[in-house]
Amino acid sequence: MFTTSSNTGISIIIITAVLLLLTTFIVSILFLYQKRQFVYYSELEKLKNEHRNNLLSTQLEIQENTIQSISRDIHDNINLNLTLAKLNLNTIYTNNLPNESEKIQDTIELVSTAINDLANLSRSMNADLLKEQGLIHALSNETEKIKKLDRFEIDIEINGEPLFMDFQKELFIFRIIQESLNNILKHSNANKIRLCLEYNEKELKVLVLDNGVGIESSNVIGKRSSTGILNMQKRAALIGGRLEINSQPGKGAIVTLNVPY
Amino acid sequence: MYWHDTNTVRFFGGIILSLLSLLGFILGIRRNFKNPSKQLKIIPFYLALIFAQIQTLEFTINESITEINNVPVNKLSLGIFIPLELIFLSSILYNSICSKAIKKFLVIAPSAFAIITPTTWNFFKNDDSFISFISTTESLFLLVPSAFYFYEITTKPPVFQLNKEPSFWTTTGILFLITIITPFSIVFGFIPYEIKQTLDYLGYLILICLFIKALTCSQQAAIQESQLL
Repeated sequence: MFTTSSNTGISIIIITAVLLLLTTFIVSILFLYQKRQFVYYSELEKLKNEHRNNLLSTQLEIQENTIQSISRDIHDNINLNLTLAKLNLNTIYTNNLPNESEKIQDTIELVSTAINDLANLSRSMNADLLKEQGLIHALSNETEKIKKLDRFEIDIEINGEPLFMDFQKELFIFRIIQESLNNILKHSNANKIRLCLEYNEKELKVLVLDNGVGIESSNVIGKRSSTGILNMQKRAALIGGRLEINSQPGKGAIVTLNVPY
Repeated sequence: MYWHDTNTVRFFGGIILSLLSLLGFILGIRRNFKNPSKQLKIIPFYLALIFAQIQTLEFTINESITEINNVPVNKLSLGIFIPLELIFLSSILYNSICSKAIKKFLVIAPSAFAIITPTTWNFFKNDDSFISFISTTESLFLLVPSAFYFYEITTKPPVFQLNKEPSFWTTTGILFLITIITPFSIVFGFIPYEIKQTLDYLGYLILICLFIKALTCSQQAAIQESQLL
């Protein structure tokens, strides 16, 4: 015979076992539900990111094609037309027009300058040099052009053993550096620029330094970033790189780009 | 953890729980050095409390101490242990739950309970009804927040893998403990000690094992972060 105490004990054991089973069942169901949800959301996030990357890649490809197309147009059409205009101006017989001679000479000089500027611009936009001779030559070419302006002291420094990467990657790196140099020329009021390429074991580290007026951090990160900076960041992300812009007003700026090989 | 004469369950249960809580404590302390997270910081101290409680009971039994200043040892030790346990478990749940209302409840209820418990000692005619009252109250206080955690899991986007999430294991442990101790706490005075002790040790065994599992979880990144470019 069971005593009342034993009977209550057995009842409690049964109740506890039932509750324990019920709790285990509920927790397991929730666990499996959350697991499926997690897999679903992970896949969704992955697809979203792939889609975002594809969009970005297409956008930058279109941008690059547009640049190439403009470069060709400048070289083939505008440059040709200006050359013809210059030739025409040279053939004008100025002995009958003594008063206009000086004006025509000035116009010829202006047209010559325009031809040179456009040729430089076209070469900058064109990626043929980069394709044929690689990143370092293309960058040296850029720095030479800046030197010719006589406004900046520019140095290029290469550390480590240079390594050729695929064209697309080098083109993105080149465009990022080009954008940094453009920003310095247009906005920094700097007179010294240093471009440093470090070929490390696993990555290429690019540093672009200047001694200009610097940038407010709010203009570097967030909604106030310029289109140029945003494009630099997009390009860096697409080649798996990291772009950092460190600057303080009045203390110049340092653009650092790390790109894995 | 209830006082009773020496028996097999108490002896082996005590040894197993002591060893596990000690192991958990060491793991927790090492983990705190490596990767401090608020929730996991509390666990080793709670495990130390369990260890201390078991050792106190063993000591009083071995030394045949049944009363301290005319207060039964069992009543005294549980009157201190249960409010402290409620504070620790509430702190663990506090760091797992997002709901502000539940967080408030987890701050207010254990504090009130810790203050009120010593004053209620004299209202109860015997030890069993006092233990029944505080154990049941503790279970009820913990039941709502731990059940709410599982509700939150279903309503929020899953950014973490649950099996690698310490809060999942700690809350599951607390829920299992409540499931096991609540039924016998309600009828505490009416069931044999052996059954109470077996169920009690079983509840704590599951709780400590799941807390150790929580301590071994590596920190994971939310999917939004890991999938970023």
